[in-house]
Amino acid sequence: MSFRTRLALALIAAAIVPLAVLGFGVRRELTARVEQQAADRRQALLAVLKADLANQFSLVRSRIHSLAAGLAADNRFRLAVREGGERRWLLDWAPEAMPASGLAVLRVQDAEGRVLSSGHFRNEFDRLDPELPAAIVSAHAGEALVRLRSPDGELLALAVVDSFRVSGRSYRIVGGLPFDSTRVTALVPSNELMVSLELGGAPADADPEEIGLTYYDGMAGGPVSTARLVVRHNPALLRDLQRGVNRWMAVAAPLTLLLALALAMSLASRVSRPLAELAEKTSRLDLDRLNEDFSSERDDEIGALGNLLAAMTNRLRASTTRLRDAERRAATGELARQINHDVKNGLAPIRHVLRHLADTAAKSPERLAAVFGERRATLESSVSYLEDLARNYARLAPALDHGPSDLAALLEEVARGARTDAVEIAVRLEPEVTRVRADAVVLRRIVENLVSNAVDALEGRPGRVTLTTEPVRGAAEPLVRLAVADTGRGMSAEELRRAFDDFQTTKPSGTGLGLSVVRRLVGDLGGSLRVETRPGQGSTFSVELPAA
Amino acid sequence: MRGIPRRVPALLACGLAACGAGAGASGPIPLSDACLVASTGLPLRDSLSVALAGPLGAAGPQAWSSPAGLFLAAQLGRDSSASDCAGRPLAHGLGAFRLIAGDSLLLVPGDTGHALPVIRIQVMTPGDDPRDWVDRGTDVVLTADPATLEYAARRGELRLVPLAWSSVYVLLSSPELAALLAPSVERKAELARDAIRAEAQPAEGSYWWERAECARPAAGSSVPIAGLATVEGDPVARALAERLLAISPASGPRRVLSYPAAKLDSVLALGAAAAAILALPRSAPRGCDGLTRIPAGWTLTPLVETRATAVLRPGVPPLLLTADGTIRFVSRTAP
Repeated sequence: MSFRTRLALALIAAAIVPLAVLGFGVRRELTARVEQQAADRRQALLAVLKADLANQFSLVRSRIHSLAAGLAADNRFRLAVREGGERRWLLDWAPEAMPASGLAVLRVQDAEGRVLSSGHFRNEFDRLDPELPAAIVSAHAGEALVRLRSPDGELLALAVVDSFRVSGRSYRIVGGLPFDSTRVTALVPSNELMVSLELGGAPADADPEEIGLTYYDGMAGGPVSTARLVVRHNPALLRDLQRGVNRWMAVAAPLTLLLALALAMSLASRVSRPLAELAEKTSRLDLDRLNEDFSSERDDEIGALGNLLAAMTNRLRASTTRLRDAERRAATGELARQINHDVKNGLAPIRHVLRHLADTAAKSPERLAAVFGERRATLESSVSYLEDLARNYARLAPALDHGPSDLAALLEEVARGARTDAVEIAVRLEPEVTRVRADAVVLRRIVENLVSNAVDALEGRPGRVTLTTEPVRGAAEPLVRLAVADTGRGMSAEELRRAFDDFQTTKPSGTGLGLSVVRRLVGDLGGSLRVETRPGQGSTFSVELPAA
Repeated sequence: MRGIPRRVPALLACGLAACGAGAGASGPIPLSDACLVASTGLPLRDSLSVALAGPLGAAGPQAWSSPAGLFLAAQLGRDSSASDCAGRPLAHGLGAFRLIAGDSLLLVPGDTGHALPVIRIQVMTPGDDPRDWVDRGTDVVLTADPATLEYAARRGELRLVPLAWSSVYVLLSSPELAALLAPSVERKAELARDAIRAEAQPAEGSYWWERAECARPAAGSSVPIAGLATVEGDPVARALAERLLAISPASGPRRVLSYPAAKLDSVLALGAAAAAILALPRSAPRGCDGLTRIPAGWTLTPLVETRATAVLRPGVPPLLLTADGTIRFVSRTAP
């Protein structure tokens, strides 16, 4: 998983998780608060409704008490009930008194329950209905919700009963105020609460969320039951609120997700791009290529890292320069010492011959010519040695041409020149890799040195030298591998470690510059050199060069 | 004047020129003593104000059958009943009026030889208290309001003259419901005595709609028992309906429904009411008018008869009680 992806996921998680927790918390807290407030308001509304009902019952009670007292004192009523006189007055008494007293129900009944005068239903006179006053009297506190018949239909009223006596007879007066649903609704502070009236239930234990009333259905003739004024919380409001929170969360979550994603991508780009650039520069870093510039003007950690890498590269560059100077100096000193040594070695026989000739000229001049003749070969051999030495040192600074060179033809030619009776030289070439990009002279010097070295490694014993070519598999660029293998003495580990040093040789007549020259020449061609050796079994030198 | 349509002059022109019964006639006037109300107090007034219950002015038969319409027809000599309160035909030569509709409605004698007064007609609007009209000095107030009559009776200078029984309140219903609701003779007496606030008597005997020429189709569809319909503003019909509702069994109508008079016909036709209580004229109208409103197959059960009373101030010329429950002014020299 890339750094960018990780950063994006981390940012998304950092944004979404707190948002989800916040949303859940808000929703839960909101629900709890609303439910608690609804419960409080429900209790408050119940208290208001109870007080209002009590007020209405009290109002009715006081009014019908006054009406009963007035009726008992009125002689017309006495005459009407005793002698049948004033009947018209009696029939009209309740219809006139009811609106004057602000009641919706008013009825006078005798002890048998016969209606003497009715306000809400004037012409129901003489009807027997003893159940209504009896039901109200038996109700709790003598207060009941009653359903009565009227000319305009049914009527719900909060009713109470009063009684009075005239001429030794008992009379009852029923009065009531309308149970007005609009009045109840007006007491509800908001649509958060709902009030409903449920009629006709069986008597039950008191519920804290409802008001129970004795109920008598005069239309059906009873029986006495219970009416409940129930206050409920309107769940639609809470659901609407929760839906609102959900909707906002549904909007906020994708928005946050998108913002987090965009932020993550931006941050990742800002952070990872410089890192990738640093990584790419670092990958290009090599002892031979220390020219990458890591310096940065950023004032953040990336800038600090870049500047650290730049400082490190600078130090590495300086160290490399110093190392190369040291190496160069070391190599020059070594070369000078070798040249001094070799020249001394080459001059020593000459000096000896000249000293011998000088002694001869001083002591036996007649023999000077004979001695010269005897020592002439020594002089020529020494001079020849010095010439070879000079020629070898001249090869340390070749001029290169990186044009295509025919490696196959070169190998065949070198092999032909190197074959002897004791040395078998085999050439195995891959037809597809016949040309390399290399200077032809340098390539020839490499091949000749390697073949010569291999032949020398046979140390005059019968053996075989094998030259092979093959393409290098899996390389970034087309390469050709040239291998020169011998069946000679091989090298020890120490010999192998110093095999490519200048002037290092195991041969009595060797200059020690062959493999050293080969290593440099291969490097100059942009190739690589590798050796595998087993003491007593031979060595294989592999050179990889760019294919043409 | 409120309630008078613009077409009244044209209608009256017809009434005087082509429909007048006795304008300009002369000779002795045979009158029943029981139906003749002599003048009281002198001098007699040359002009009278008469207050009537509305409506007035509609051209149809219903308008003419209203108290105001009947009064107007009587004064114009239109042959609405053509009999006195005893049922005897009216003699010609009682004199008639011309109607002048201007800012107020005036009846002007058509023949000055009959020494009739000029009559200014005033129509009460719904909600008017007839006692206010009495207090305002109106010469003749025709009303059935018991409070007004009681009030007038206590005013010594006013004379109360009961008019002829003019209206019959009937129960219109299907035969099945009629069997359920039709009151007994005793119950009718109770209705007349206790249930309504108007001068009333039990409706007994036979009525004009039972005649063969007024027979109606017997077929009809039954309607659900919903309510008893009455005409809005008719307290007598309302009280009768309430009483029938109160004494009806539980399977009977459950409430009283009041409709405007113009809407009641459609209510009955649509079957929106189980039954209705309506006032019909006691005297037979021409062509059995009014029966077409009643759904086919329904029966008419007469309940009570009612009548109005004329409250007269001193100086009112003599008048004749007609069979249709109104009055007709006659010559001041007649009795």
